[in-house]
Amino acid sequence: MEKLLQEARQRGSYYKEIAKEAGRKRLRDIYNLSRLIEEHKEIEKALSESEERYRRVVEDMPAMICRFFFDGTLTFVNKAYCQYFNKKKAELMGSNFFAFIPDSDQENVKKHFMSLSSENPMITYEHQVIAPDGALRWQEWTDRAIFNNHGRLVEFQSIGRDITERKQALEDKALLEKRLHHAQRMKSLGALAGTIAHDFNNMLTGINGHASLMLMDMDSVHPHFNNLKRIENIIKNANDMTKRLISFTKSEDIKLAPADLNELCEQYFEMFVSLHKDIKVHREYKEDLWRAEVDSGQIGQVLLNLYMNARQAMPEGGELIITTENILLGDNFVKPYNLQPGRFIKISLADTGTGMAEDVLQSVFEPFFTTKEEAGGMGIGLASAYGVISNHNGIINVSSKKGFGTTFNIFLPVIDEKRGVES
Amino acid sequence: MKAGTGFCNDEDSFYSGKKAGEDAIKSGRINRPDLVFAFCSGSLDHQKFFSGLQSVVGKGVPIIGGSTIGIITNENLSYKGYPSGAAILQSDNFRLIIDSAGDLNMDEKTAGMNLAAKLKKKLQEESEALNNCMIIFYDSVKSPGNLTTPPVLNASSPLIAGIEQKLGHGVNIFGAGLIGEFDLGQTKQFCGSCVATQNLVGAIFAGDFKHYFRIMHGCTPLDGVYHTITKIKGSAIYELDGKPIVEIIDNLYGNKNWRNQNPVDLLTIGVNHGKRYEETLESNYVNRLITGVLPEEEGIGIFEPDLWAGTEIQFMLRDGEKMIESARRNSEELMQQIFDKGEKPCFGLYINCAGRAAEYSKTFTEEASEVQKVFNKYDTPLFGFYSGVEVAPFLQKSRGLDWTGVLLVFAV
Repeated sequence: MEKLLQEARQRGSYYKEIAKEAGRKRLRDIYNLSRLIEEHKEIEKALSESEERYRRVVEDMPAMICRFFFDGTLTFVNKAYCQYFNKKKAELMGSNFFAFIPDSDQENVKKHFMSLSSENPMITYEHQVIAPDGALRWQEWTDRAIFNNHGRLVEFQSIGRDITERKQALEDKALLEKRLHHAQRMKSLGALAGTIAHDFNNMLTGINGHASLMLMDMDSVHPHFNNLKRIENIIKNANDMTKRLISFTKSEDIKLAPADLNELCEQYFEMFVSLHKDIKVHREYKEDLWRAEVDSGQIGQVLLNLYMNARQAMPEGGELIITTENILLGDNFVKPYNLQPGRFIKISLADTGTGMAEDVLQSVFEPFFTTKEEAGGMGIGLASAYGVISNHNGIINVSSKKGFGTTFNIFLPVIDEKRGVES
Repeated sequence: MKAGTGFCNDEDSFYSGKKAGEDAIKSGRINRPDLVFAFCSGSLDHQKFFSGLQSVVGKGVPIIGGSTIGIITNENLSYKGYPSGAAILQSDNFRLIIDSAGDLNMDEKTAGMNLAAKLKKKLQEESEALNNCMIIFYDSVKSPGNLTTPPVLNASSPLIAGIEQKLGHGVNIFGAGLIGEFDLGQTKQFCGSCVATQNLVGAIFAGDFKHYFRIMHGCTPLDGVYHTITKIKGSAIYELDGKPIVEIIDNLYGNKNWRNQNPVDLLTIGVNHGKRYEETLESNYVNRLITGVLPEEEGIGIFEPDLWAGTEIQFMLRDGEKMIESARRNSEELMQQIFDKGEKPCFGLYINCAGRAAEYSKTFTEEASEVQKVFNKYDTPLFGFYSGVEVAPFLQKSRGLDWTGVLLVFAV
């Protein structure tokens, strides 16, 4: 019995030790496992925090960010993208961004991002988009191709911004520079033409004087009487031409008085219409048109020049639209002409004639420039018109497209009748 | 019986109370709130939360509960941010007797006796408490810790003893010692019609309904070896089998790193109330959390001072996977038990130790999600919260439990 008890105790101690060792192992295993789990959770937490940080950067960026598949299906958009297109993220995810691109630009866009490769993973380009209000706007996008571990192209990531204003500003700047250059050129030409005209006028005066002296001692049966008379006429014509050339520059021979430009347009227009019944004319005169201080004769001459120009552009008839309106011109518009911004009267003459090519447009107001040499054109009319309007502190410009007609615009500063000065 | 639950996680305390209440009314189709269980994060303004809840249910409806670390409902589980929740019950089946007692920090037993005395006055008959279930919520934190001193906790044992002294030892007491945050700051209690601190609130549910419960801890004996406590003082154990307990634990871990843990992560003290060498049943073990090594490293602390010299204990292992399996199994078995009795579960209250949350028990999934799955499977409203101490009857005696989930289900 004693032996059995001792054996039982020994067996008990033996199994107790095994149990203790098993227990220790269990505890340590669970301890190690719990440490691993803890580390894993810390890594997950760090990763989650890192992802959250990057997510915030992406979401808070003012630039638009998106990711998409080959076919344009959006797989990610940030807040700026959603705001631009005025849609919720849920609506955009899974939709196709080509819906925002006008048909004309789609092929180009596709070509750009499909051109990417591992050697050349990024590209920047511009294209138009259809904004939520239906307007066309310009955007600049930088696309990056995303490759998986096997080097396969799986997705594209893109950062974009609206550049409509920038493009518009560049265009405006280019236009301003063009106008400035043109104005400066016209001024130089004007100065040159004026100088030549003065010298020429002086010579004509001398020739005319001698011819007149000779005629004083001659009667009409003299064999040279008629020749001398012709010389006088030619000189008279030449004088007219030089006068018009001189008017291209600043002239003091200008008589200003407040005028109703609607009445002035109508007065000279009536004169024109009576002679050219194959031209259909439309008038759109602004009621309560502001008043300007002009030399009515000179302005009338300008209008006649422009009517004649339109007539010549429509040899087989056509339409002429005359409009007057009140307009405010800003600094950007008037700056090339060294004028002050403010209130102006605008007179437009638009025809449905043959139109002018771009190179002709550039030179249309230059003295002696003409496309009607066969018809005996001297190229003085429009130059004279330019000079007259400039002398009135106004602006004259032209827009035209070959085959589509021409529009001349005259801008005259408005008079402040209370103060008697231009406003 | 109808029950609805609501959840919110918002910094705005009043809005949180209002939303939790509104969602509970809506989910349970409640048209006459009779009782509200409500808990909110320690980071919320409890008075504003309470007011938000009252703005929905009305000032005449009792609200019991208080601070919590996290909330569990059928659809939500959270202990981060500002979680809060409410469960609203409507029933013609039960009669509620609710009251509260203060000065818990002065003397837990006296507070228990005071509460019991107040409740007793409202009972229709003396045995009413014995035949039914009582739910208590109390302030777990006697005094919050600071840089130099650790927090001091209110003990559940004397509190329960005080209640039993007045109401009788057969009272089935369920409930929790409340905590609002893991660093054991001050907590608040919802005492029916007001918000208080250092209070004990109790509700006796009397009437025509049944209650079923399970106690789940998922701890298993480490090695099966029994040890005898040979030196103990209050809630500090110094020796087992005549040897310093810290050395025994050092030997188990193989190092002293466990001494830096407060509380000790994986090891607990278990007392087997079943047969010594028979099959190990979870339901036979009372589990005691080891709060940590004592300042002079001469012993260890346990949460509740209810062990004594001569008690046989075993070291228990907190295994995360077993904890999750235990939650799944016990919830399912409890529901089946109810169905086998021909009854229908109407509402589940899950009092869950904060240490069982995945973040602290080193598991990938939440064990409470297993309970959620079971309740969703049976389309039964579930409302739970994370607590500091869990109280439930165990082997015919109500006691405080550690690392435990107490699942209480009302059925009709």
